[in-house]
Amino acid sequence: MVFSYEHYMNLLFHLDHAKESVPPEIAKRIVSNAIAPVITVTSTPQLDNHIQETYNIDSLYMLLRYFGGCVSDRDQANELVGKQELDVTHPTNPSNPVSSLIVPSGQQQPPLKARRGRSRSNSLFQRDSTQSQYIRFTKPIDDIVAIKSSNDMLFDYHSLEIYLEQYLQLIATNTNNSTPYELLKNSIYHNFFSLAISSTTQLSPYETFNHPIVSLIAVDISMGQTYDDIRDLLVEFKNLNTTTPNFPIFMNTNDMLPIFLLCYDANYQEQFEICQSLTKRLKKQLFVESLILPLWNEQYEIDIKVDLHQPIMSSLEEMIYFLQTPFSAKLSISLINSIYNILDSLIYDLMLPFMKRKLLFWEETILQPRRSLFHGAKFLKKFMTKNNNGPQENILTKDSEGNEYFAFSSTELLMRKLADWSMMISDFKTAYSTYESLSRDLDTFPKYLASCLEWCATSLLMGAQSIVTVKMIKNDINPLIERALQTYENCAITLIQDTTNKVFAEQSVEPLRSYETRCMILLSELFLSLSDTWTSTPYAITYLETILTECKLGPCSQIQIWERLSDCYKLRIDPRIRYKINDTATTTTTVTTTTADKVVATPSTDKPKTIQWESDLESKLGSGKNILSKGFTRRRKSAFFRLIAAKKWAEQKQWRQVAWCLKDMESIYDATDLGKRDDLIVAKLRNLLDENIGGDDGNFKLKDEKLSADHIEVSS
Amino acid sequence: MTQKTLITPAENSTTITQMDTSRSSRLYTESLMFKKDNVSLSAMTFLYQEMISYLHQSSTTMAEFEKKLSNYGESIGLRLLELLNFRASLSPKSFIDSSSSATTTTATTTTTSNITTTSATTGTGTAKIISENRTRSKSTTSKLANDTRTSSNSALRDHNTHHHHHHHTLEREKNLDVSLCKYITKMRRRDLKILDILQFIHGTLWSYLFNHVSDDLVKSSERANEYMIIDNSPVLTQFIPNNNNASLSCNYFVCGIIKGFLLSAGFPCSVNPHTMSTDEFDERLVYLIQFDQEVLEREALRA
Amino acid sequence: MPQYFAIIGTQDNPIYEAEFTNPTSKNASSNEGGFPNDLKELNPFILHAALDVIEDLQWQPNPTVNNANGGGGIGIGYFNSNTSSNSSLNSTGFLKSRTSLGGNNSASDNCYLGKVDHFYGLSITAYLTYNGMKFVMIHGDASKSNTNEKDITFNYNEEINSKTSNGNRNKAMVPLDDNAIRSFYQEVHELYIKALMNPFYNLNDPINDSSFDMRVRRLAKKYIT
Repeated sequence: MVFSYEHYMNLLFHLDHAKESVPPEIAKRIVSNAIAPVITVTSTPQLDNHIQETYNIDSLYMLLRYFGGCVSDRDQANELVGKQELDVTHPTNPSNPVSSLIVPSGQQQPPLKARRGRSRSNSLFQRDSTQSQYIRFTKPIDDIVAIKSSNDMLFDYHSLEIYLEQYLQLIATNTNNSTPYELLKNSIYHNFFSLAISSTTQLSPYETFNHPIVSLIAVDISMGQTYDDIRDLLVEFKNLNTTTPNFPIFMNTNDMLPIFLLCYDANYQEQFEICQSLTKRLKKQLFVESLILPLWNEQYEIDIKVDLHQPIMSSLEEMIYFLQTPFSAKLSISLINSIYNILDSLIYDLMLPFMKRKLLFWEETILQPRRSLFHGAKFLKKFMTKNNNGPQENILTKDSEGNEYFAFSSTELLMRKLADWSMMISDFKTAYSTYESLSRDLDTFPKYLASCLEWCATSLLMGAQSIVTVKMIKNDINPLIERALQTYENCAITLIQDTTNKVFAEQSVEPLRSYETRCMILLSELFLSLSDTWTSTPYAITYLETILTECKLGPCSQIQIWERLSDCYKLRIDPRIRYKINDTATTTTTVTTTTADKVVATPSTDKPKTIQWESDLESKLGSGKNILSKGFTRRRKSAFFRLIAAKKWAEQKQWRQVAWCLKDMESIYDATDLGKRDDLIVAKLRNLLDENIGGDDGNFKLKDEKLSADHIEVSS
Repeated sequence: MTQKTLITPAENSTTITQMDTSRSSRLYTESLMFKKDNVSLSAMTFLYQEMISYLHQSSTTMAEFEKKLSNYGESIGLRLLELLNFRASLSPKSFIDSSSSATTTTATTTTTSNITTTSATTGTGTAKIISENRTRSKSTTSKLANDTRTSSNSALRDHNTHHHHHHHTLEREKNLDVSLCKYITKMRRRDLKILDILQFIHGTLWSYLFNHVSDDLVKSSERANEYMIIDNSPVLTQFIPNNNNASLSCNYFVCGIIKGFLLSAGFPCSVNPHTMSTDEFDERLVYLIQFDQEVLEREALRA
Repeated sequence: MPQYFAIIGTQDNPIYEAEFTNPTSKNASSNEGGFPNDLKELNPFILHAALDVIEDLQWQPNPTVNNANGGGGIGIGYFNSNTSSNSSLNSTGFLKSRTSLGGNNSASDNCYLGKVDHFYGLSITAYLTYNGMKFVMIHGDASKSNTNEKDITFNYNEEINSKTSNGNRNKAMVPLDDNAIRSFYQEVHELYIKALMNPFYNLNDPINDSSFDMRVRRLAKKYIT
């Protein structure tokens, strides 16, 4: 089955693909996924109950969240096709708690062709990022607003650490020491990466990526909900600003598109007709769009059922929850396809046009005047506003808790929205120019400025210009990043200096640090996805090191960064000799045993003419195959950082990771004998490993399996 | 031969105990300076011929013979690379200034040589290179090379070493500063380019070995990786009649020296001898040096 | 100020290793003046990791560390430096880089490479012999060697609290006396040549000679305190 984005991110459950190479530009896809437009799902209690009865899923939101990600991939549906192609006796560990194999009976039903005419092509291999639009689902707005943290923290490193630990534990149980791990390790890092840079629940005042764009309001037609219910819901939605306590001042429902989802039972033809007439009526009278979904159908009972896998990206809390209490939902294949069709229609017919309209509107009202002749001169602007005595738009507004933010109507925030939405639809050029223009205005607002600069750099790396050149990196991107970091630092410093209470100061710095951490992780990974690794990796390395020295992360998270550093060095190969590296074996030095005699003895039966007599010296120095690449790689450094990572994994008692790290280093260190000396760390780590894992290739057994007589087992 | 160095070749390193200074090696106590010395030509060629016939008997093919002979040369070339570069780093001016203080000590009389005679017990021998007093010596700055560590011609030294060896070694270890580093202001540059190192071979190495610079250094016009060093009358093989292929193979020793020199400096290559007689020089020999392609590529990359 | 010195052969194998400790340390603890234990077992690997950069410099006509590192040493922040070949590596200026500013190659000495790399407070200097042997040395900081051994290793929290600017990332550098170190390397080079003169010593063999060891230590005492 074709290797897909979802396969890669959930590689643990698709270990049959473990030997593929790292997908190109995966970082960009993850970033696109991370900033994808957010759709909040609100549904009525009746609908939720009905769903609960039929599908054993708590609410519509819980149902729809499985369908986030790249909709055109249809990865929930593809799972079925893939399973039918696989052999029943699966080579990987059968006791896989999250996605178990089913033996399908009945006919194979191929998924319906996706829209846009790309039937089975995969988002992973799309060159043009605009072809695959990502979306994310999130809870109803009031829920999000209610749990908004008061200190603007972007992500909680503590929860990240917990998630990582559990994920690693899962890996340790489901693999053994000889599982091909290179891709898996990359996948783990990218999972970590994706979590660190996105969270669907945190609403940030400084950026608008997590602010919902579409509000999907669902009603249950089969339960008799009517036009009036819908109208009430719409009114409620429009008034959310005022009715909800603590609604953030930087958000507004005007900028959200309400769409109604009419769920009906397909067994009853009249319900379908009701839906259709309702659709027309809603459009005419309430000016709101709606979609219809046959959520219940007799056919679904007899249809092939598919186990849904967890979405690639959802909030950290949800992912931890599902990791701890695995739960798999089953849906019929035709329902899945229907849902995908609805989502297709939502995205391409409703959401994207809405976004583009808004973008156009903002552009005309905000950007055009700025491009006028007089805008650049600030004093002139002040002069004009003084005359007008108009409202000062660039003052921060205080919200109910006393924090100061830009209000949703302020030009600055709208411009930020413009830029962010351009990023979401992959229009990086506009995004870049908007960010740049905005950054000039935000000089006096460091927290906003820092975020703006960071995303300015990101837009460049994602493809604002068609190629990223070395010069561009040096002159544009890097200075932007440095400025952003400097701004973050200044914020932190002023914060610490202002408050006298040290503990409180540290705590208030943390949210800022989380932005900084996110910034560094994001940018370093994007640097690594550039093709000229010789020039780009040093920057990635610098930023990763910044994370290690400045940002607060849990221990396992830090080790991920160490391992990424090692990967950076491994990637650092001068492009001129890259072809050489691919030819020769992975070892840098060829070891030949040197004999005391200068003559290499050969058996007398060999034909003398065919023997190449290598001189003793030649054998020691290598005969020229490797000399070209000398100095143009950093493989030894890469192995060294792996070693440090292994040491730290041992401290955290993650023995599977230690085993894999040691394997990585084998080729480099065994050649030099450093790996075997007992007083040195490699040997010590090996001993530790043997003590803790024992034989049988390091298989960990689950807790409830009893020890069997023929295995040597050690509890982890 | 008088031997002070005990060495059992098993370990390939001198194993000395601290206490046993009476038998300690003079490996580190000798200076690396030049000492002119003469060895008889007949002894040298005899030894060379013995070496060749030994190798001839123990090899089954010509290729094997050539390789073995070349191997001997390579170990010399390896050492010469370091030694000659080091000596070239000594700035003559500073040496002359302080030479007055240095010559008072006895330690500066000997130099370590690149080639030593073997002890009688081991069969593998490396020969000495003779320096002849050639009238057409072109080098003025380089001192005549050559000395052996263990067999010396100076009666005085023999006398010292035999009778006062114990006493003197202790003295040497304590008082004498045999280090030449104080005469070095900066080390000679490592040669990174083909042309630089070939110049060094043509000039310094050849003068060291044969007391004159090589007769020509030529770059081949046909192939980019071929260079030639020309010797109008090779010294070591002058008594070997030059009439067949076998006699050509006897020149692999010097090829080995060049090859070892280049290999250890990081220029993998192969060196082969060819005859090219002219009217004036009947025995004219060309050492053809073919560098591996990677060397040229590296030079292009690192330009 | 402990140092760890090694001679590394052409196949990345150390043929000689020695740790030099500072004998004048006042503390009478057991690990007086030496590296902390977890560094001891890591030292050869630190040197091994620096070999990449050394190899790069080995073949550069103008060996400057910036050319080789291109902006990323181990543990240094390069925010304030350009990666142009003529700027000095370390903004605090402890060690001159090996540039010849006039572009005149022939004048400079390219055996001694100076400081090539560093690792969280430890500096690594290197020297090349003519036949490709690499003399490498880690310079530790004695002020930290007797305290909590985590200080030299990978604990960054103290740096966070005391950080006020980007330049602080360089603050843990150990001042190096360029000339003394170069002289030390040259003397050891001479000793190495003498060891090489032994006809039974083959290239890349380990140097087990106690006489060699004694002399090297004597030199270390003389030049590197």
